[in-house]
Amino acid sequence: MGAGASLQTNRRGALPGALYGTARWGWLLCIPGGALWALSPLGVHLSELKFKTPDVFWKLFPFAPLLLAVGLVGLYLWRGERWGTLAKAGFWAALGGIALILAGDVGLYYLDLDGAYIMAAPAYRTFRAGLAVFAAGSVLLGVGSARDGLLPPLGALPFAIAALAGLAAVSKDMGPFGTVLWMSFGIGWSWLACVLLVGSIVSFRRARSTNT
Amino acid sequence: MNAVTRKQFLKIAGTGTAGVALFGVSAAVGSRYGDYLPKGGSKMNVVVVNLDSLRRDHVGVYGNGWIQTPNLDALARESLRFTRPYPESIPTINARRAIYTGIRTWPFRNWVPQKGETFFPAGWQRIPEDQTTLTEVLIENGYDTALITDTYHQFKASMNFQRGYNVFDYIRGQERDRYKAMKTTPEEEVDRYTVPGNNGSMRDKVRQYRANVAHRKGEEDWFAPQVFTRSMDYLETAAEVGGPFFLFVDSFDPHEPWDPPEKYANMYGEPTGTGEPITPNYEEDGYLTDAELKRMRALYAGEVTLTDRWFGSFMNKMTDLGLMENTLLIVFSDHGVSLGEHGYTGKVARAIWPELKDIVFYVRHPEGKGAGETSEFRASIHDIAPTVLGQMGMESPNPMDGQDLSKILDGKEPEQERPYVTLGYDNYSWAEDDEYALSIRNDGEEARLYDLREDPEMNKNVSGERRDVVKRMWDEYVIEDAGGESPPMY
Amino acid sequence: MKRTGLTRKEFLKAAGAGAAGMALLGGAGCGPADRLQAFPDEYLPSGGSRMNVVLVIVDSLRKDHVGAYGSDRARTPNIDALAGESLRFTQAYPESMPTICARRAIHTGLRTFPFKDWSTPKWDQVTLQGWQPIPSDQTTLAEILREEGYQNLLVTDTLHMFRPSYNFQRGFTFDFIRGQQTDLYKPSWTAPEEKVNESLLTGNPVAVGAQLRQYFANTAGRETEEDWFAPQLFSRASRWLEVARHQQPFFLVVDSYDPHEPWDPPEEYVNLYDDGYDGFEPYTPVYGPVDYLTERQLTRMHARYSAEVTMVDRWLGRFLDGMDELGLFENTLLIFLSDHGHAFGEHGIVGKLPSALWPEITDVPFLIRHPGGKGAGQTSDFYASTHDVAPTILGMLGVEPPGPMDGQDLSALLDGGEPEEPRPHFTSGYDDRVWARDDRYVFFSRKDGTEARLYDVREDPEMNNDIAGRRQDVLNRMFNDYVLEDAGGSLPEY
Repeated sequence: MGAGASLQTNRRGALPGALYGTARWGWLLCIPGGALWALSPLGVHLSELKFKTPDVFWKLFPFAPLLLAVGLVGLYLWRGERWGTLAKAGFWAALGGIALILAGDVGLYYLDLDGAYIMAAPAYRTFRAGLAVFAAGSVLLGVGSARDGLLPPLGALPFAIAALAGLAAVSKDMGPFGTVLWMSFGIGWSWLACVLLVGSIVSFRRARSTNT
Repeated sequence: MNAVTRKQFLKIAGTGTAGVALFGVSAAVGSRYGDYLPKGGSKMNVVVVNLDSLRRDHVGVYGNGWIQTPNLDALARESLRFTRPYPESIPTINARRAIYTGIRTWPFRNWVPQKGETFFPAGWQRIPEDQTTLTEVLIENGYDTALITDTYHQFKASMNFQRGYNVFDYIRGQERDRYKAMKTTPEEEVDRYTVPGNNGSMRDKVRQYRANVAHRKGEEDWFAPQVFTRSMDYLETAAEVGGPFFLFVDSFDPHEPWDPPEKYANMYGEPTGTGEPITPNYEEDGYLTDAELKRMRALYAGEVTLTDRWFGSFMNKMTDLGLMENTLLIVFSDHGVSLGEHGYTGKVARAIWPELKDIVFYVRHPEGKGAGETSEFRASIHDIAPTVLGQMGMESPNPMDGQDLSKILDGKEPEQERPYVTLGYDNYSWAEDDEYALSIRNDGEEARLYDLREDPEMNKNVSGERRDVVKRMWDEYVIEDAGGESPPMY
Repeated sequence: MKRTGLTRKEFLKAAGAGAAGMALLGGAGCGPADRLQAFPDEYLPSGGSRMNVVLVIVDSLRKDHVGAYGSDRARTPNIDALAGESLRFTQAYPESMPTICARRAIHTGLRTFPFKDWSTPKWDQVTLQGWQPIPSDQTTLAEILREEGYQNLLVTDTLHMFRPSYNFQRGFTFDFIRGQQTDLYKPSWTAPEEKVNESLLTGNPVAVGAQLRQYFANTAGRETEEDWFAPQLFSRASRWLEVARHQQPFFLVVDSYDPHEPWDPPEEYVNLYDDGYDGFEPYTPVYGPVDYLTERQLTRMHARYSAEVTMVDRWLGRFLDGMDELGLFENTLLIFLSDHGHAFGEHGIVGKLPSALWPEITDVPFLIRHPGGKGAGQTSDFYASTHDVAPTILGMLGVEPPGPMDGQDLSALLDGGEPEEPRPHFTSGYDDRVWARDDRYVFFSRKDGTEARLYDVREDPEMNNDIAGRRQDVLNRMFNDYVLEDAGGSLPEY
């Protein structure tokens, strides 16, 4: 069976079932999460078209960062212990950013907090801050883990670049150009997870072929 | 890190091109949609109050020692008060075009008099279709907008000042509003509310007006009270529901007819015993006896105090609802009215003097910026739209002529200095700097020039002796601001 | 004693001078009459025999919901009584639809069809061809009558007339009753949620919900029947009459938006036509195919419409009684008409779609009651229309319009005679659709001729059997000879 398997058994013993599942497969959710993220400008447009307001879409938007959050945690559980400070900082920032995004979205579109506090606009500011922190964290994560070689550079480097694009997009409304950058950010997440998936399949096959 | 092998490089390059392809696709798709960020942000409510025909020299804090305007005085403590504001065009509808669009109405080029209208000063027409209004921009940005007004000109045939409003409430009956059948007013009543010198047109005005207001009982039925009461009702609902709102309280009072309830009518003088001069002829004041002119001034002052009182109630309501903390408040007037200071009553185009053109202008910022301060900057009514949009960080699709006064609120220099101003009323224009003031007809005739340092009351016309100043002001101020050509004559 | 009259000598002197004067006038070779024509007619005192005019416009009232037209679908005893004293047009059609297009024609006597020079004023949310203010180069009936010394009064709750830039109040003292349908009167957030929750929103929940919310906000606080729109309108009109009769002649327009949707008259009226309903109330339709409604919901909606018709009829009756009490029936010309109908699934459509120009939408009631009793109780199958109203009123008053009008003076028909010009066919338009009929066929299609429908109304008066496919020749003839002809040769493209 080999070293990989024994590693798995060890880890299995240390973790409760659900967490183990997340550890095992959670990072895959980055694929749909990133895809949803990339498609969100389309969602805004469709919502405007059909409902005359983008708010209907924004209410549904949290699915994208939620999937990415689960995926992020899964990634950490799977590969994260050996990450250096940069990557770890990036991870926590990204997760924190997602938390702010979710809080902001709920406050803005479900609780209408900003209708009550119109000058402070807390929900909107939280949402925007969350977007920026999430993107910044992703940049750090990508750069840090590529540098330490703990995520394949093939995945991590484009991911970091895409995250940089995302950071630019959420810092300033850049119209259609910003939309492109935003979509790239989402694609970057999917890309990272896809690369990891392909890598896993390849090494799984290799492990099997060496065993037989 | 190990050096990248050729194989790895090719792999990365290959996926790089795949990435570029993906990026290209997303670019193609994404370039169609520019809205990828959630909308929102810090907003203030906006309340704009216009008190039509309120003269600057009839407000205590602006230097009047005898009139009672406690609420307008109190407002100055919490606002930035402009000491020399002016209307970029006169009268009512011309001013409102500028207020709503931030674009100068003067000079009144391409004026098309509207069918169905009965008053024809140049430039008096609806907002042109190709101009975007302040409310149309605000509504795009998630504001609820409301207009509460008794300025009846706005609901005449073809007028469109309700563009961009979610709610518009017209209070009928002011002045000549074709609201009730004027022939129901008995002649004795017309006599009671006119002086012998009033001409036929004014008698008709009073006839229509008295028919319109025949149902009034208590003070709350008068116009200013109605306007402010309905505005307060709106504020209550708006405060409950949250979300930013824009409310325009457009009070026609203290425009004539000046017939406030008795206690105000007699606050500044006694009735003459003959008819009450509630409306002036728009001409030289020779048709009035001294006693009648005095009474007319008292009636006007009484209506100012009535308006101020209900403005005060409105302010109290805003405070009670906590709206003072998150609302930008702008209070101003659109022009004054002549009451015999230079031999004219009403608003006569060839008789532009301070009593007609000097207005009030306050900006109260919810965070207290500029509170209690004054500014000598010559703010104008066409600065309102740019200021509101500037405070909210919004852009208007059409370039505006006015300025964003926010910098002055912050205590800084204005965006652009205004060393002089020009304004216009029908076929007459006015230009003024720190030294001289010029009134002139748009064909260059009938010039009146005043040396403001020696003759601030503008009683001595020195245009004969100082033809050079007249010419200079005409060329450098009037022609310049009118776009290079003299303003049109109709 | 001082003599006050003329002496015979003075009289003869004056007569002589008069004759000399006449000779002078006649001396230049033209007859005195021609010379007199050359002078402006203000040297003559104005006046003369005058009637008051009351024009009642009732929006969305279907001809087949008026008892006098042979229907029992709605109870309209007062309109029926009025019809008994009026000339009743059995084949009246609006020259264009809907609401504002029809009213342009009513107020000017000029055809709005075929919608040339169409532009929607800014901030108007209705974008139908021809739906715009009365052009400033057209003179309105009110403006003409004002010159003739009439007192003009307009009382209405038709909200479209108080949108930005609209100008139907030109020439009138006017009283707008706020709050109908989507009038931006009260903040829509003040709508009582219970009303919204009991409403049927299927079909287009967001749009319908928003419309109803504005309406419920506008009408919150209504208590007794007097507070409803038609009652308010006709009550105010009655009060106007009391005032106006002191200053006759007057021209009063009572323009009722009811029975336009939303349909929520007081319960008692709805119970006349339906009971035992226990679902969401269909206050307002979603214009389009009827299949979003269940059978029961459709009957309920239709019942609400009929109920509102009866309410309008009742308060119209009160208004007419008021006129009678004031003695105004003796000297007032009364015209009553509607501008279009409304579909309730008769051809699979509910609402009023431009593409659905069947009788439920095109057929309107039209009555003229002459104070002298001319034409009382008679009928005419002349294709009377909205643009005939102004020429008819002016014709009856003997007033020349300042310019030619497209409509006709229908006075001759009141006397049982022939119209000035026969109308063997009639055309109408609604947005980008055109409609035409003669005594055998009815046809309608898009402006470019596609999506055509043709019916032989002698054999198929209900218009259920579309023969467009088989009678292309009739289609072409009607399109070319009727539609294009009436449109002046071509239809404008937008």
